[in-house]
Amino acid sequence: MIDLAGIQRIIPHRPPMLLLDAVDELVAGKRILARLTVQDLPELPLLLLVESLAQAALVLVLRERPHAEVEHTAVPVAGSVHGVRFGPMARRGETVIHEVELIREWGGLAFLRGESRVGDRLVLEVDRLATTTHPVSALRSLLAEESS
Amino acid sequence: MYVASLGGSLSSTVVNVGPVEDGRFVATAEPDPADPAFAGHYPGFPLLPGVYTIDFVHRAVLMVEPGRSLVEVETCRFLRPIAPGESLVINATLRGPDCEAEVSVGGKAAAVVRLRYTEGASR
Repeated sequence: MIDLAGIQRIIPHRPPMLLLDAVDELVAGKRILARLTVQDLPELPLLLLVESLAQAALVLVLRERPHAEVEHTAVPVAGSVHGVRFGPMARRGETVIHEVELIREWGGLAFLRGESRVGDRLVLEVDRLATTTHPVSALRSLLAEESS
Repeated sequence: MYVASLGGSLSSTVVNVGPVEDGRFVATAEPDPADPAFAGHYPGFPLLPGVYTIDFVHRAVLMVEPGRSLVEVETCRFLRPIAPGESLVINATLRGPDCEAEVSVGGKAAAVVRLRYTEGASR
């Protein structure tokens, strides 16, 4: 439904930190099914699995207001995660399917939950992910101010 | 996907752990500005991916207690972004299966993390 090129028109993540292959289903404002096939490594590191699910969440949230280029715009920034539980690791050649649901958007934050499976095997559950976007100009000022 | 260039442990960043006293320890991590992750997160505006911060805490725990395996990120709150060239200081406390850690950058709080482990064999 959305291929790799299409994903890159929605979120600013690029290789090697683009951890989705395709979106199979997207119901605007509600849910997304997206996938990643593990290549190159014997096992997908747990926290890259979380990053991959978070990118599926961002495609759902940003579909209607793409943030493909970061210069002069805004970038997605993680707010918080709660209840991230791991199952058996996803191995080389296996395809992880992320199913992420938007709980609500409120005060500039999007709250989501999701789970990831390889076939019938649950490899990841995320009870709550809060994400937002910040203007690049504001982040530059913050970083400059705090490092001075 | 291009994970191979990130390496199996997420990145080449070295995590250093100080002495452990009553379950408490301080660790530091200095992400290499040349780490390939920055090129893709994001082009033109590199920021440390949030999962890297969690991974540095996790790796510090494994250096203190190598047998543990990660069961759950119970909570992680990100309080400010981290740019290339910034160093992370991790103040961690191990208590039973849990690790609570505050991560700071330049004296400012950057994240608060709580991880839960089994104490069995490593994954």
